[in-house]
Amino acid sequence: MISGIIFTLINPLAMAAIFMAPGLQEGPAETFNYMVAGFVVIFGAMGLYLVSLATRNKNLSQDLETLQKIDERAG
Amino acid sequence: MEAKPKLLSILDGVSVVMLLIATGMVFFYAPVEAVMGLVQKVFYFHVAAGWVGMLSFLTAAIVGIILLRTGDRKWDIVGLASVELGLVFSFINVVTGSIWARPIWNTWWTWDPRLTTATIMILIYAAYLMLRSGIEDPDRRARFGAIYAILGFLSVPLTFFSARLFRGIHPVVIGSNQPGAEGQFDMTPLMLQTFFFSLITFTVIFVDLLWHRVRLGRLQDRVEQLKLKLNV
Amino acid sequence: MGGEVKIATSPSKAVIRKPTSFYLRTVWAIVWKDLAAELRSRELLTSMLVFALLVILIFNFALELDPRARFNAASGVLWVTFAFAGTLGLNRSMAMEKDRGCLDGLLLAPVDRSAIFFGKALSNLFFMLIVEAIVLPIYSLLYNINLFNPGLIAVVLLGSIGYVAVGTLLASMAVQTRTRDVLLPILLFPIVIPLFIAAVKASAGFLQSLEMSEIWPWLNLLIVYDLIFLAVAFMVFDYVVEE
Repeated sequence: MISGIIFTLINPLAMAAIFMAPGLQEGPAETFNYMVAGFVVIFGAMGLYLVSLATRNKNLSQDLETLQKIDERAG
Repeated sequence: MEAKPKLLSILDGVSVVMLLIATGMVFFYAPVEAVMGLVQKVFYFHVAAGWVGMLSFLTAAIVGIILLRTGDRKWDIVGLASVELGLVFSFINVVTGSIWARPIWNTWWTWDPRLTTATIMILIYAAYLMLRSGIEDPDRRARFGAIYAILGFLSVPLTFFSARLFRGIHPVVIGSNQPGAEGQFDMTPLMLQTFFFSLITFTVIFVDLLWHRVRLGRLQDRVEQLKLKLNV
Repeated sequence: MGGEVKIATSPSKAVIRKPTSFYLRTVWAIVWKDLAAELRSRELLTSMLVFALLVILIFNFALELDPRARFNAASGVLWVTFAFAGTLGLNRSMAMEKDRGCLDGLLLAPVDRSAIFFGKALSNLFFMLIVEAIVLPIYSLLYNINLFNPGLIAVVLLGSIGYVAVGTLLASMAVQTRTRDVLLPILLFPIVIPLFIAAVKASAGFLQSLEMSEIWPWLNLLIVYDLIFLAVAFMVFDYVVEE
């Protein structure tokens, strides 16, 4: 199957047929939606991780404060 | 809580600026690939995330060796931090790869060597987290985590090699000469510049995030110790 | 085993005095202890064996193994069976040490810790080989495939060595955690995947009598895996049992 596709890509006649087919005149394949999905994942995952870092940091800082107060009262 | 070091603030700024520049380069500097079209733009950050994932797991293994040698638990904080980051970036790597594969290979998933290895790597380090969560004694947790990080990292190249002996269809873009890999393309100079700039950017982001995560780990350690001291 | 060593204050001293023979005798003592215990109770081998046969039975119905598919799937089915039965045995063998306090006793003994590792690994290997030695003929019988092939037996041996080396190390870690019953396969399987792939492909190669040049890469992979993980397990085992 792969060799078939490659043959199609190499063969100029086949290429011409592909590009003359309706909807494909622009050349590159129409993959805009996939690109958007990809970047949503990239920035989404990094953003979520940053949020998780910040929340964990906030909670721990609060815990630390409370604990330090208890510590002072205790002695 | 310790004051935020100045260098870290600078690094934060540098990371953000570099990420903005890299994103700009991907969209406006690098040309649209002639066959695959716009989805190819995912490739720059896809490879960069994969690279950072490997770098994190390598860091975890090296830190594991240092921990076993010195017995100093501060290295455990670094180890856990890098595994966590490695999981985030490997996840980005695998999912973006899958999104790219759908229009190009016409399938969300194939048992290609790199894809398989990356996925098994995620499973290994998920197991790492499970192992840690089952151990209460901090010293033992540190030692076991270090051992597992070392074992896991050793098995990764072997997994890749064994999966590669099965035939793969993943394009080898750098130093390529593999006929038959579908989705193969030659990078123009502009693409290459974008590619290397993305790699450097993600490496800087990795260092920055690792630093933040280590600071968080230290904070966690302090809270735990205070809890033990106060018996709550 | 303390005949030669009168006062052993530290493991290293004991080893220096009677280097090889003491070490080997320690390993052997542990293997012997496990075999004797197993001979009396037989619980480990029985459970591994029954489990292995059940797995084969399930595969038979799950894959609807017709004669042709049966031949192609044989090596895969066999290795999945070995891997599952092996996990069962590894978990049980280390859990017994832990529960009966044997591990603590062994650790108090003035012996090199790595000798404990090799002792446990050898007895685990022994149990696994026994199970394999029983499963292989039964499988041949049930499916009418000839599995008596010297190449296949070598692959089984190489695969089991690597599996047991990593498995013993990870099992001794897993039994010291809260979630020990479920943890071992989760820790072990992703790390033995390369070994598993190589073993399946090499076995299939021998069963389908492929050219040796096609099988050698897999055999090499098995050997490299065994060497790397035996060496690493030997080096890090000290840290697993450290108190």
